[in-house]
Amino acid sequence: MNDEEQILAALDRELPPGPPAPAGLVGELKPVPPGLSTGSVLTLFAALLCAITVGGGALFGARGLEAMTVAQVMILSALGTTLVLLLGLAMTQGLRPGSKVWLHVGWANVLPLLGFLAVAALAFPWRWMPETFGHGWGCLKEGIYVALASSVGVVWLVRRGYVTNWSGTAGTLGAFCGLVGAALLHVMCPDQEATHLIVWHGGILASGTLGGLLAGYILLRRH
Amino acid sequence: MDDKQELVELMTRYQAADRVAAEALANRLYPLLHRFYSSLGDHEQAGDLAQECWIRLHRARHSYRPPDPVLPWVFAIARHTRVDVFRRRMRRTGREVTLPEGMDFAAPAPAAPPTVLPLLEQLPASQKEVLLMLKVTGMSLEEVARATASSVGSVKQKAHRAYQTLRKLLAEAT
Repeated sequence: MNDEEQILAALDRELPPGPPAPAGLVGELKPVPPGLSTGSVLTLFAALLCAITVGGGALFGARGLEAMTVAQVMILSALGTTLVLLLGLAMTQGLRPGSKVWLHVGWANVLPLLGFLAVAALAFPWRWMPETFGHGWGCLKEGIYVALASSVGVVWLVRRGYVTNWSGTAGTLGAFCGLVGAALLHVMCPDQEATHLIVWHGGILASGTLGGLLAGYILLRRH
Repeated sequence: MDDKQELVELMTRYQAADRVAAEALANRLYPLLHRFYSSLGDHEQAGDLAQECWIRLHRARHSYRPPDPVLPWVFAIARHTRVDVFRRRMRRTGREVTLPEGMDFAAPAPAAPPTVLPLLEQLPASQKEVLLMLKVTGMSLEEVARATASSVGSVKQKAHRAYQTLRKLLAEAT
């Protein structure tokens, strides 16, 4: 017997056994559906992102899409798909305790913003103008409204799970809502310029994540 | 059917409101939870914590998805129950209360000194938790990683460090 086995055997010997369950521990029972699958979370995220982006573009015009090159559209689509996958996996972890850990929740909260900033800086031209920068407030406000609207859609998702880590999970939800807001603005906003995208469209993602983390902190205090 | 598969079967029937399965599950999990809390140093409150945890498990039963292993789901909720209960107590008392680490066992003293149990107190909380999950619950490294929302590598490292420290302390004690 090696050292580890000896230590474990000693622990087993020394730990007092747990008492039997008290009578009446099991209360009223109602059937419940099993937890969400990873596929259903991913599908919901993708459907919500597509519905809001396509619907918003059809309603308010797709001037942003017209201003982009095919390569830029493809890069943004690839980024969107990757982030939906990433956030969907992180969300499943957050809603199903004890599920497989795909990535640390902190990464899920930071990577969307970092990915977006990298793509904006590398795939879009730098043509900074004070007037373009100034009217970015409108973009930020619209994006935040869209992010708030999409958060209503994900409440259903939260109710289907059980959150143990409120701050991390709410941060992931906030990052997803910020992603939806930023995606719709990309479709609508004609200012496809790196500085504008980094500060104002990236600001929506940052606001979403920070808002989520704050909401998570408040919920954590309440529990 | 092995132990883990049987738990999955019981949990699935519990979700379908089968009372016999619910009671069988409670009889299997309650002693395990009590032993876990007790060995973490919460001997006085182990019963309350185990009951509070069972209530949470009941409320969260919809979040379990078969055929995932049951114990990581149970112990992910169990460790958060412990943290929440102590956080709530800290808020109520309005002052800082450290998590009790002291071992206060009603069980008779083990026959052959030196004993491992008091030495556990000297381990960092995260290492102690991992070691006890591996030993008390019989979970695999992968399952402990799921329960603690960390990687298998991190669990291995914590367990290895815990063994190293215990080995050193045991050598000093003899």
